[in-house]
Amino acid sequence: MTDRITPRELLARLGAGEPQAGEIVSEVRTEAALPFFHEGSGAPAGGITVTGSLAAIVSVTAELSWQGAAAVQDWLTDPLPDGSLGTNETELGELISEGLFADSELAGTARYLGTFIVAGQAKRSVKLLIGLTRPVSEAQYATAWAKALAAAKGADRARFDRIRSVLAMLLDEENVKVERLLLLSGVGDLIGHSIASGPAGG
Amino acid sequence: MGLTLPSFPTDCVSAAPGLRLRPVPEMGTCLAYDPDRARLHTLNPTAWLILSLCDGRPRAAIAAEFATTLRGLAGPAPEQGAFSRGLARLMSLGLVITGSPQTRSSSPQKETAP
Repeated sequence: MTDRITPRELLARLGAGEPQAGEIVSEVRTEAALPFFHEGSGAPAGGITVTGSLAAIVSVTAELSWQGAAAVQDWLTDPLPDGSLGTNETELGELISEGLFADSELAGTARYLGTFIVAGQAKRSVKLLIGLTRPVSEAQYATAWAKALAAAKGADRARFDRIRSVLAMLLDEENVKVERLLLLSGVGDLIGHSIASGPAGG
Repeated sequence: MGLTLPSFPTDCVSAAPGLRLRPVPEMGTCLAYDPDRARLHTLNPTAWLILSLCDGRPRAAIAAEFATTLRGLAGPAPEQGAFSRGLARLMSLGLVITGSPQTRSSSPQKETAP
């Protein structure tokens, strides 16, 4: 039986070697009340405001370290360096809402819904939500991002670098998860029109 | 009135009070939990033997029994000085302290199966 063996019996079984002893770090706990949101800066988005109905939501969820999540938080709430009204999040929202699908028949169909940080005791995830008033294929979505970033890079390199820095924080993570959620409320009879034909009677 | 001597020599060593031991032979180790400091340690069989011998006797007596025990085992013995190194390591981890077990609340306890 396990609890009856003696060190001599175990030595007889395994042989004697150099004595070794070490501490096992069995659990690492952070302070449960660790202040996460910095004083004076609230959550980066107060809520989701959507004009028009959405057909789909693209959800980008990244599991970050405390430092990583705090860096995203800081980035979102940092004022724009040129002193203009708004924060970095304003620029990110503009890139998504105005830059994605620009110069295409899908222009204006993307909505930046917000970036949300869940900071619990066991997790700190950052979720970036993008609404689409019309569902698109993955290829269309990827192409739209490539074009939007290329346009941003050509127009204002500093702005592009700022946006790229936060996208890198979110998308370069191993645990990033991108979900494309189709919203039933926007596709069928639930609200009286389909995404294919537009508003009923319109 | 004569000189009062301590009841044990200062080089006596014993296991830390309240230490709870759980051998895990399938992993070739013994886990030692120190409830006072909420720390868990792993000991290989040689270190576990040293710990088990630390019952308040002087180090020399423990070292002698350690050597006797190892001589009775087949296979190569640890290099010279293994007892001193092992004891020093156990003391650095707080698993062995100087003194007699009478000065402590309890001696090491073997864990029962959960």
